[in-house]
Amino acid sequence: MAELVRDWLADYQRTRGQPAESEAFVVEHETDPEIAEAIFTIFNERQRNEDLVHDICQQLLCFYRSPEVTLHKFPLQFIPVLIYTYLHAVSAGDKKASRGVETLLICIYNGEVSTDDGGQKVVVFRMPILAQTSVYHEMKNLPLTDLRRWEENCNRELKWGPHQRVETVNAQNRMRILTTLLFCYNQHVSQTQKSSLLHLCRVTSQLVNQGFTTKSGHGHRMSYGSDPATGATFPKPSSPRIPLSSSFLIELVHAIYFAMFNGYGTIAIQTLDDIHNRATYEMYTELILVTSAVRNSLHANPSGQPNDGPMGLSVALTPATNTVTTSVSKSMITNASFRTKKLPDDIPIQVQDLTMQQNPQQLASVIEEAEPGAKESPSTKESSGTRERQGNRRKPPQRKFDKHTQRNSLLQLQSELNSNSNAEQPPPPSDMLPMQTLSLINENGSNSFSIDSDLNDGLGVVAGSVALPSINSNTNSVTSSEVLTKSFDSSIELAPLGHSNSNGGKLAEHGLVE
Amino acid sequence: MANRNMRSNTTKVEALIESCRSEGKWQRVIDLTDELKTGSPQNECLANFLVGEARLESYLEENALVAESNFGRAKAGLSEARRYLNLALGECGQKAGIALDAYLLLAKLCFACGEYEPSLDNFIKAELNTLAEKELTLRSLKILAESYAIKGLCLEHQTSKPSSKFKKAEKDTEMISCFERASDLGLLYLQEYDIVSGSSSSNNSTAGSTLNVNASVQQSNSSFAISSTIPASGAATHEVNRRMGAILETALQRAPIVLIKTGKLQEAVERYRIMLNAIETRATQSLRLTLTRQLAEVLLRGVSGTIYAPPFTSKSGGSTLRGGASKKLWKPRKYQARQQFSPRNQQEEVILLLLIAEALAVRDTVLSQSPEFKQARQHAMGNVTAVYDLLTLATVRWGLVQLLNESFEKALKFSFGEQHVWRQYGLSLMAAEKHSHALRVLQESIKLTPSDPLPCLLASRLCYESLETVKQGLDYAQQALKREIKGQLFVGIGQQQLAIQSNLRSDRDACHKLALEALERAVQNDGHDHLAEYYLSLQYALLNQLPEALAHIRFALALRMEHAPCLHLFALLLTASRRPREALGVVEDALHEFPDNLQLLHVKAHLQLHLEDAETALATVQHMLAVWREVYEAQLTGEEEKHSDTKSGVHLVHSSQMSDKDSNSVYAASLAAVSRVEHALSEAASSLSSFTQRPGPRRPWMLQIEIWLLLADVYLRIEQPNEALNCIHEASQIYPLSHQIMYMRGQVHVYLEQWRDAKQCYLNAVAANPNHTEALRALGETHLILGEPRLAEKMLKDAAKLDPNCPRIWFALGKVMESLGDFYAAADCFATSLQLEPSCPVLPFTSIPLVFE
Repeated sequence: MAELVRDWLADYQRTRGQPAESEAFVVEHETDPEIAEAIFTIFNERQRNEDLVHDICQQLLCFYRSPEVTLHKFPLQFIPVLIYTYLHAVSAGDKKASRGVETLLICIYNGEVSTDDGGQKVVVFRMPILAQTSVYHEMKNLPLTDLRRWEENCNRELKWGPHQRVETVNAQNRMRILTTLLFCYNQHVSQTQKSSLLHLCRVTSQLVNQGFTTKSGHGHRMSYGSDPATGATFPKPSSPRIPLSSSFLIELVHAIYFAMFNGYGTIAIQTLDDIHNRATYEMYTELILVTSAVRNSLHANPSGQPNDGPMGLSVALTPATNTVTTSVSKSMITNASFRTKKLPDDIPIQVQDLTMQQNPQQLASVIEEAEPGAKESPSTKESSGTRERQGNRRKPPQRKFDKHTQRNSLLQLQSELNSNSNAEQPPPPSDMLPMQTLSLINENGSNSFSIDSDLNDGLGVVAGSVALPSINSNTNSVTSSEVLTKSFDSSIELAPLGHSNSNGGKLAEHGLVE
Repeated sequence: MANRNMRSNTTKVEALIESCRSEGKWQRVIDLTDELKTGSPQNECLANFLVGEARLESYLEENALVAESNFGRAKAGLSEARRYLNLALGECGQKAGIALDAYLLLAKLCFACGEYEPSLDNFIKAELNTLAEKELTLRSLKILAESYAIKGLCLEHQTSKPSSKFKKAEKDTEMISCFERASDLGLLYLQEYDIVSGSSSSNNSTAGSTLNVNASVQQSNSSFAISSTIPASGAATHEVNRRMGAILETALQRAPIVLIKTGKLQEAVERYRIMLNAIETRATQSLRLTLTRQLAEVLLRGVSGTIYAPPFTSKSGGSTLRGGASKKLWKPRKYQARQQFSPRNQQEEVILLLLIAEALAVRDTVLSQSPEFKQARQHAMGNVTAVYDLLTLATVRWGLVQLLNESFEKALKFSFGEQHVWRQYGLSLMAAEKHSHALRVLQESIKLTPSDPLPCLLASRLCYESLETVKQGLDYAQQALKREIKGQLFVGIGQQQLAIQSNLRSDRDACHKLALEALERAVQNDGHDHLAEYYLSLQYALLNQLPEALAHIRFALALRMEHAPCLHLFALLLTASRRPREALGVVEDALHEFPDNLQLLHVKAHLQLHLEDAETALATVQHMLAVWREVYEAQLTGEEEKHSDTKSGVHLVHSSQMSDKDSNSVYAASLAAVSRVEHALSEAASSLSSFTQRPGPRRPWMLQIEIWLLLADVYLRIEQPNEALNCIHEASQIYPLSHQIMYMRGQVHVYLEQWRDAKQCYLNAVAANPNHTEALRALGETHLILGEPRLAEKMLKDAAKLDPNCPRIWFALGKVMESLGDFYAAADCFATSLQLEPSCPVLPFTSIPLVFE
């Protein structure tokens, strides 16, 4: 192998400056698959061939700068193995040995982030949205909620770059540079030799596993107590874990995903598992998202296994007629059973109702003043009353009515509870109370739109009137029951379907708020 | 063809038969054929053909195709049909113009019986290759489309290997062209079918459910209702007709796969695009889902950026788009609308496809939980998760977790108990920094996967890092520990945080002890974990056992040389060992590797102040302001800033409480945080002053406050109180009621010897945050100067209780005791102070923010 590479180095040196011969070299180089293989081998055994590694890097750099396209692209396939070589050296504290590789990487990076005329390269794409018809879909057959989704992102652009050119690599920018390099590698990956994918997988496994597999080095730990001040003599672990960033590993997953469906299924799946283990160790949420998505798509999924067919594609027939008979599917509720319907125009009225309720003059608490003994909290009554009316206006079917009664009973339950607690309270010592109630409720009513403001008000009230705990609890309960009704309203479409789960969740949440 | 003959005769019966044929009512066809025979006996041949056809089709409808084991049975079941069709072949068949159709149907029959060679022979007899394009009736269209499909499939199944490479290539080309024709004709047939049947039945494609619940409820602008379309008697047959049949479906999906197999990736992609560009029909809904997903898969798996070509740009780009069905009779009609979105690059196309696929897949998901729907539910779930997985892969790289979030949120409706969806949802929320929401989802995920430690660990981290609910986080860590040993480290971190937070001495000591035990064990479990070593070192530092702390920080640094928090702690430990110059060296070296790390810059400035080098400290702080601008300004102007290397900055004592992106308002969040009083105060202030909330997330602004206050401190050292006041003014522009600002204002007053003002400032600071020991100490000192030694004693004792390791507090307390005449106590205090002084770091160890990487 080393011989082959030496010849290759010598050949190129010889042909430089002689156009005729260098052309011949290019042609020969393009057709020779063995040289890349040999270089990979040299990198794998770099300890034995350190000087050779340096020479290879220099030559690759010359290639990269060469105007010949085939030569220019040639070094790109080595990016993963170069990155591994470099990071391995850095993590072992051996930065000097990796100078050659580092220089090569920086040069490729600077080249890749620049355009041919010296500007900064930017990859821009528009965020597609369903609200605009495309060559693949029309509006009429998709649900409205999906169409409106991300409507606000119309014409939003996503960018890769621009990236600053760099002169030096430090711990702060290292991962960013390497991520960018991997992105470029991924752009070219389908043009590289297939065999380089095998090396990609191998190198990736080494990259993420280093420092995890060997379980050595506990013995010396026990002795630190004796001579801690001179702890500097602590022997370094031979191969410490290599720090890797989340986005770097995500790019690697993309590369591995490509390898998985282009001839290296088994080893790529193994490598993916390695990355996943590393991801869970580091707790990189975005990376775990991606790795578990890919892993999930590999088992028991229509997406298919790598060996199911070319690129894991296979014919997936609709099972509908064979398995589910039509009579069964009739009673089945699918998501399509929900249809978005334009509401009648009474929505603004409803909002008005709420604002009216806010309006101090219209507030039902006037009645409260007339009969201060009344225990049911006024705004509860008011709100449920208005809702009832709306419901009637829209002529709800029986089920909906049931819902209403259920909700009302819940409220009643709550107000009963309140009244009980109120009843137990000793009567207020002064005539101040009704007035205060009124003002408190006013304040509350005017803000009863959002939970946040409720809370704030609640806080203010707590701070303001510690002397009147009963009233406090009363007003608070009003707002929370208000919230309760709202939550019922917004989630009622789920209720009949046995999804009390989500409903319960919401309720619990509000319960907590309360 | 058959229909020509029909049209010439135009009897009523024949028209009826034709319509039944196109609708697939085979039994009715057989019945009508009898009538036909009785009507005109010369139609014998035609009748034979019709009966044969009807027998064949109804058999295939009842029995699934393809499976090899069925061939024997199929032969038996179809013998009758074969007989009839053979009868239709003879001369009279030629005369009646049905021989071609008969051959084609015979080929189909042979295929169903697994006889591929005879099937191909029949196609040759039918001269399938030489047919001219012309208008066809619905039924003929279907027969033709299926014929091409069958021919392609036969060629694929053919066992005899082609003799030469050339022959093989020839066969491949023929096969491919068969599939392509089949897919074009198939789509055309379905489109025609939709038009014909659409005129009779209602055009509602999403109909099909029966449950009449109609619970219309207001939610924003739209209401959902379970539609109540009438499941009339027609629905059942309708359901059958919606299917295009296994042969066509296979051919449609097979075409691009065959292309990929023969190495024609670009053509395969193009084929997918042509099929997806065809106007959808009722029957192609599920096919479209498969195709969109598969095209996205091909683009993600096999096409890297440089070889990608956008759709419909090559060759006849414009004309295929607009020309549509104008010239070519046997091509399906295409989508055409003005201002169509046409992808220009790979990302656009992949995401567009996946969005469409998602909408299609989500629509078919099954909500019914009863067991009889289990299979259908799982099938739909599989389809939709496949799309989600691809969407995840395609979007996370671009930081579009927000999009994922929304998708998973919608998915919850039909994902009861689906652990994968819940977990992914939780992860995406966490990645989108919606902390409290993420915690709720992770709780569910913990329940769904009882053996997986990951959700517990994530929840624990959320509690420690973002929600400031250490106790809860500790609970999760302990749950994680039951599942896997990695939880040990998190238990340790939790105990450590509890110790730092607790004010009661006994609690604190207990927590410290537990933390130390847990962290020691964590180091034992994983000797290569730098994080465990780091926390163990920090634990020893907090316990004031500096030699052990130094030893462990060295271990940590050996495991990972370039780790900013480790270097930070190392520098602080050096200052606590009276080696400030070395510490400065460490910090400067660290800054070579992390030039934008505000933490380290902050330490550097303090060290320079400590070494009485205020001028250089000034330069450092000014540099910090520049760095702040570089790192955060883009973020604050609303642009999503992706490639900053340092997301973390100075993050002193309480600033972590505003890291939640959910809370854009100062008032909404951080209920869990330390100082409720501060909260209340800020509310009061907002009504009073002209204070306006700065735009953007809160954290960067808090960092800026820190920097301004540090700068004020530096200015005081170089005796420029006015500059210091300006700095404080800048800081209070951002957020007027930070206790740190009040404290710093007090410092300026002290410098100017305005003791009463200073006292007021310190009182404010202490009111805002009663645990701020520096303010307590300064207040004590001021009380002493103002001649109020008893008050001073109270304040300083409080401070000493909170932070017993600070020599300055003890020194001040000593002076107070001295002035009170309690010399023994004073001596004790001074002694303590002397004892503590050598091991006191420049900044408290707790000033290093929590780290998990």
